[in-house]
Formats: sequence, C-alpha cells, structure tokens
Amino acid sequence: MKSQKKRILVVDDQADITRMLKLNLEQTDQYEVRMENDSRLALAAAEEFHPDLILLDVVMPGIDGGELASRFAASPELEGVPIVFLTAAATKEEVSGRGGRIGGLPFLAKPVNTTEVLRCLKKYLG
Amino acid sequence: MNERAQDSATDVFYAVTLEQGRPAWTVHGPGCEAVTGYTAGELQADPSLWHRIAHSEDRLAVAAQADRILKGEAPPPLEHRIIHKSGAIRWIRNTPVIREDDLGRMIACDGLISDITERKAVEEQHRLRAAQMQAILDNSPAIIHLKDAQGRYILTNRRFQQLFHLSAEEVLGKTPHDLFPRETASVLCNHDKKVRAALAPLEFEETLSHDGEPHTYLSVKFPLLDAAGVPYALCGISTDITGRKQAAEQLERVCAELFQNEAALKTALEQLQLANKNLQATQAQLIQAAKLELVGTLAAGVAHEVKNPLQTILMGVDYLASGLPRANDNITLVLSDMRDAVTRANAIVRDLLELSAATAFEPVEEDLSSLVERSLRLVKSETVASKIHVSCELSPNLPPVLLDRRKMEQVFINLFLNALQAMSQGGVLTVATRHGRFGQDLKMSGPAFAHLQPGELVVIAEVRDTGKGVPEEHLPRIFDPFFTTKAVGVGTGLGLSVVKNIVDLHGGAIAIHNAPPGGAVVTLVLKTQHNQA
Repeated sequence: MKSQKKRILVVDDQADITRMLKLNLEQTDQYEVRMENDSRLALAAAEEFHPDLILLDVVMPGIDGGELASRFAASPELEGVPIVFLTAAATKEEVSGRGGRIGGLPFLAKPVNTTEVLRCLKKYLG
Repeated sequence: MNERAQDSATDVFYAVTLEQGRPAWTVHGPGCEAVTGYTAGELQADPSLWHRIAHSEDRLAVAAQADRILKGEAPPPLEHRIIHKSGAIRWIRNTPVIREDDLGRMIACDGLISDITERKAVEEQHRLRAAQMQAILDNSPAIIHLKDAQGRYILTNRRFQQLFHLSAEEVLGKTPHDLFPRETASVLCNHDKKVRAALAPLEFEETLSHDGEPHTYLSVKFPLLDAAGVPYALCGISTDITGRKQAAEQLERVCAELFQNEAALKTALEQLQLANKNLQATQAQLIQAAKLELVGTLAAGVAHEVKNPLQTILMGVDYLASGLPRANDNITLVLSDMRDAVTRANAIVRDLLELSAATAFEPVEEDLSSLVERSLRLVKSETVASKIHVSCELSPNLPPVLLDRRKMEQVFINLFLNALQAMSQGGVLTVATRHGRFGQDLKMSGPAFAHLQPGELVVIAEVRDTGKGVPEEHLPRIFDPFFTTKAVGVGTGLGLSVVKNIVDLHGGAIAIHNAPPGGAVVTLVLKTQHNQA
C-alpha cells in the first residue's frame, strides 16, 4: 500500500547533504525520503522507489545531474515525476535571474534552508 | 785753487803749442790729476802719454781728432774713454779750440777736457731702460702705440709693425688717417678724442683689419699728462680678442642650444613621467585584473566545494533548531549565529564569483536614472531602518547607456549599503546623475579616468554620504579584494571590488574621494551609446 507521505528521492554524492535533507523533511511527517549517493545507481533506485519528486544534485562523479535528469525523463516508470535540481554551481541571484530553472527544470541553489526546500516541495506536490 | 778743489775738479784746460805744425809742448791745468790720475808734470814730460791713456777702442778716434786739429780744422768735441791712472775707465769730452797768430796761422790748440763719466753712466742707464722698455713693448702680444698731442704716431711696438707690415720709421709722424681706411681711422681718432677729453683711461672695442681679415681688439687708451695736467701724448694698448669673442659667441650659441635642449628635455621628461604614471596605473590595473582572474578561478573552483558543506551545516542547524525546547535561549542564539555564519560564508563565495565576472554579462540599453531609482527601492527597508534621508538629484534626460541591469543594480546596492554603514548614526544619502562631455563639461582627473577620451559623451552617477569619509591612506586600496575598514563580520571586503569589477566590465570608471565638510563621494562614469561606433 502506498504511503500517504510524499516520496522524495534525494540524489547527491555528498552523504551528509542527503542525510540532513532526510532528517529535516521526514521530521515534518509529510515526506518519506530515500537517499542515493551513487549517481550510477540513481535511475534504478528511482524506478524501484517511485518517488513523487526527485531532488537532484548537478555536479556529481559518475553521471552528472543533467544526464541523470534526461534518463529519468526517458524512463516510462518515472513519467511525470517532477525533478528539482539542487546545485552548488549557481547563486541565489542566478536562480531568480533565470526564473529558477536550469534547462527548463526548476532548481534550488545551495546552501538552501529547510523552509525554502519545503516551499519548493509544496509548490510541485501541493 | 786749493788742493781739495783740484781733487774734485772735473774739467781740465790744456794748451798745446805748435811749432812747424807739430806739437812742441803741452800745458795741462790743475784739474788734470783729478780727471786722469796723472799730474800736469807727468803729462808734460811724456807727450805720448795722452795717446796711451786713451781707451784702446777709442784711440783711432782720438788720433783722427788730433790729425784734424793739426790740419787746422776745427773738429767737433770728441767724447771718449781714458784709462785713469788707477785703472778705472773714465769718460771725457775733449773740446779743442784752434789758436792763431795775427796772420791766421795756427800756433796752438787750446782745449777743455771735461770728465763726463757720471753723465755717461746716467745716459747708459737711460739707454738700458729704454731698451728694456722697447723689449717689453716688442715682446707684448698686444698692439701698443704712442701718439703726440696732434695724433701722430711717435712710438709703436714690433707687433704693430708686423701686423700692418710697416717699419717704425714708416709709422713715425703719421696719423691713423695716413695708415688705415677712412672709416677705421675715423673710429680710432674719435676714441682718441674721447680719451683726451676724459683725461682718464677708457676702454673700446675696435675693429682693425690686417692681411684682409677683420680682427676685434679690446683697446685701453690713456692720456699722458704733463706737469700741468695737459695731455701731451696718448697711449693705446690693443689686445686681439677675436678668438675670445668668437668663443664667447659660440658659448652663447651653445648655451642657447643647451637652453633649448634643456627645455625639450624637460618636456620629454614630463611626457615620460606622465607615460610612466599611466604605465604604473595600467600596471596596477593589470595586476588587479590578474589578481581578480586568479581569485575568480579559485572562486569558481571552490564554490562548489564550499557550498556543499554550507548546505550540510545549514540543514543541520535547521534540524537541531526544530528539536530545541523553546526555553533554551543560548542554544537558539548559537544556532542563529551559525545560520548567519553560513549566510556570510555564502555571500563571500557569491561575491568572489561575481568578482571573477564568472557570471554572464548581458548588456542592454538602459536609462541610468531609472536604474538608480530601482536600486534605491531595493534598499528602502535598510534606509528606513538606518534613519537615512535620501536626496535624489536624478537627471530625467540622460542619454542611454549599455549596461547589464542586474550587475549595475548590484553596483548601486553595494554603494548604497556601504553609504548606510558609513552613517550608522543617520545622515543624508545623496544620489545624483548627470551627463556631459568628459574633460569639457565634466572635469575629472586621476588614473581611474585615464582611459576616457576628452570630449567623450559620458553619464555620471554620484553617491554621497555624510559619514566620516574614508581615511586618505585607505583610498588607494579601497577597491582591493578583501580590503575593508568595517568591523570584523560586517561585509565581505569584496563589495567595492565587485563594484569596480562590474564598472570595468562596462568600460566605465569609478573613483572615491572625501568631500568637505565630511563624507565620501563615489563618482561613477559610464560611456554613452553615442560613443559607440
């Protein structure tokens, strides 16, 4: 039976970042968070987890965020799942300057606080 | 005559009696011993003694005089030397007078012998002096002459004679008009006249030609005065100063050339100094650019690595804060400080990225006054909170400038926030814009504006605060990255570097100075579209 909580897949090669996101998001009791630190395993993890939204780091060893986003989009199992980039490669000003999107996808600029992440999740998941 | 008188006598009378045309006997007066050393008796006893005491070099003359007497002639007096009995040489003057009988026949010869030794000595001394004087005159390189009261040459030296190819005799008694061309002679005579009138030495520059070459002489002319103070002669000593004059003229020319060269050198030096100054400014800018490039490269490289840990800390703080009992104020404060620290660290990374111009430059045509107004609105809450009065003097008709809106807004926001921080006790923030021709309507100087061309149409923005101003010693480094005068933790030390970098990116100029009575003025200059080709 599918949990009432929204499923969030966090893909980031930094384990401490995924751990902090998991702790903060799950503390709200609204989200179930799965962490994936190996980009090469991320697609399989996503297809298995069936997330409602994917938080995706951009710069990662192995497969980078951009490539992964394409693969997620191409997967029939993940069709319609929103992807939000979480990147250290841009500033907040750039985020607002580009309408909050990279390559057509929304993104959050690191460091981002919990409130902003929750606001973003609410925006895409209601 | 007593003996003492005889001893000191200098004249001797004598009489020679002739018989059949031959001397029969001779009688000498009492002075003969004083003059010759021989007594009258000795001379009388030995008729040839007189001939013998005559100086060997003068005997012929003495004999000749005697012959003429015997022939009945009346020879002139003869001056000759005799050898005194003591061996000393004496000069005498023998003046014979023929005595005749009633029939006109010579019967005797009377005569007077005068001792002229002293006179001869004086004459010799005079002769020597005259010879010395002539030697001095003749060996002088100057032209020396003496003229009588009528202006006739009475003495010239060898130099005079050599230069004008004339003998002393040829010059003697002549006037300048007899020797020189009329024009030259007139000048010389005129100078002589002045000296006679002045009764004192005068100096003249005179031109005399010899061997077809004109020569310049410095002539000292002075009058020779008689006992009554009347000039009886005039002496001229002329030194050839042609070479000296030519050297002086050449020196003058060289001096003039040197002066010109010095002026040219001075101009060149000034240009060199200016060029050097510009070069130094350029070098400083290049160093600054190189520094920024390095900072940018580093920033871009570390941004990712820094932001990830910041992300972890920020979310860690969020997590800890969410589980905190409300009463624990200290931990709340610590967590709040940690959040602020993350924000500051992130701001530094952001500014470094901005400084390196790593972000895209997207210029569009824009009105600077509108952009300034927009930027002011973005800091409105800060100005209100800081109790700052904002005074706007924005020109409504500025020519458009090409600028990256977001970057230029950041420039003004940074400048406004700096101004606010400088006026912690409140004050007035004045923002003005205007436009004009650089260097004509708008006078500005300093290395910051060196790359702007005079006459270029520019737009200017001025941001003025009423704070304490910037210490003069800090002004040269004010745009250096990480240079800050603010308290630790306030600002990143990159704000003005970012501002400068963005202004440079726009090809503009920015400078900060202190304005009386206090406060700093930031002047920002941007080129207008009208200057674009």
